[in-house]
Amino acid sequence: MSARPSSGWRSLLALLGLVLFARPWAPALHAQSVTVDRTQALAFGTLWRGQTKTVPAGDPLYRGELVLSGKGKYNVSFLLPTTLDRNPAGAQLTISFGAADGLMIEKNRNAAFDPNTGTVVTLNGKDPITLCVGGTVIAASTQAAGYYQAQITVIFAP
Amino acid sequence: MRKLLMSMVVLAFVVAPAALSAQISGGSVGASATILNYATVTTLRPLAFGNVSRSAATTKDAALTTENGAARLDYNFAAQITITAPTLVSNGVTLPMTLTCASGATDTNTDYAAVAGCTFAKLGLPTSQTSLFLGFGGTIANTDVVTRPAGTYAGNITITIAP
Repeated sequence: MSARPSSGWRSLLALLGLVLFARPWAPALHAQSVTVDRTQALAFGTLWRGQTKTVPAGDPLYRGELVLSGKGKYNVSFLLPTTLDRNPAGAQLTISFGAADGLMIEKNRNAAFDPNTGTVVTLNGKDPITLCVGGTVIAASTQAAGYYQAQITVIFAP
Repeated sequence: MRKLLMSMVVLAFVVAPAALSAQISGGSVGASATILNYATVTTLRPLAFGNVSRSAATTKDAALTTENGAARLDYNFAAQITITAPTLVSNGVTLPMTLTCASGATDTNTDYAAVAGCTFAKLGLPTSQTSLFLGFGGTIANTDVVTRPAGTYAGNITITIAP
């Protein structure tokens, strides 16, 4: 009987060592998760034809909001509409987003960002982060009356 | 060595599911605005019968720009137009008249079409603010003229635009 492990045992030990080495990484990857806990629509309210109306990202009542929880670092990008659409009859209202129309609210700091280029969020598993979006709608001088709406899509990529 | 490589292949499968859990995810936020109703009425010219005859009825064609009174409506919603005929009055004496109406996309004879009974169907919801031209005509009967004192009789045609 040999005191040295066979090559089969060596491979098994190597595998065990690699698994043990690798395991600390696995939970970190599993912990990558982001959840949208709450949203608030970006609401411009009422406006006249010919009127331009801006909702700043700092306006807590009317800005769009997503409250995020989870853990991990994410690149956040936005699919921003260029128009709000009216149903029925297909009229459109122009909407635009400026370089300061994004606001990230963390526990200890606020940071402005450009929703056209996106931002990065780092969730620590405890404190939520709120992403806020403002914008501007421009009603043409011949804008038809009605209720206009669209969706802003937010994408989180690890 | 071969077994070690095999072991690493197995390890790769162990670790891979963890990496797959880090997927792209997303959410969405609504955006909305409401454009208010808007309407204006601009008088282009009054309906003027001029001197009316005691021997024959005096008529003005609502669809002829040389005879009618006209107004321009600008609106941005599905509008219901209601017309109220005028009461022509002079020094407290009224002179009856019948009112006729026409409408058109422009203030031209070719566009004006008669509107029966001056009763308008509700206009469709426009995709942008739009305009409508209204023409007004009518008739003053000579039998009414002969029983009225001389004078200038005037009144107002009332145009109401409602959603």
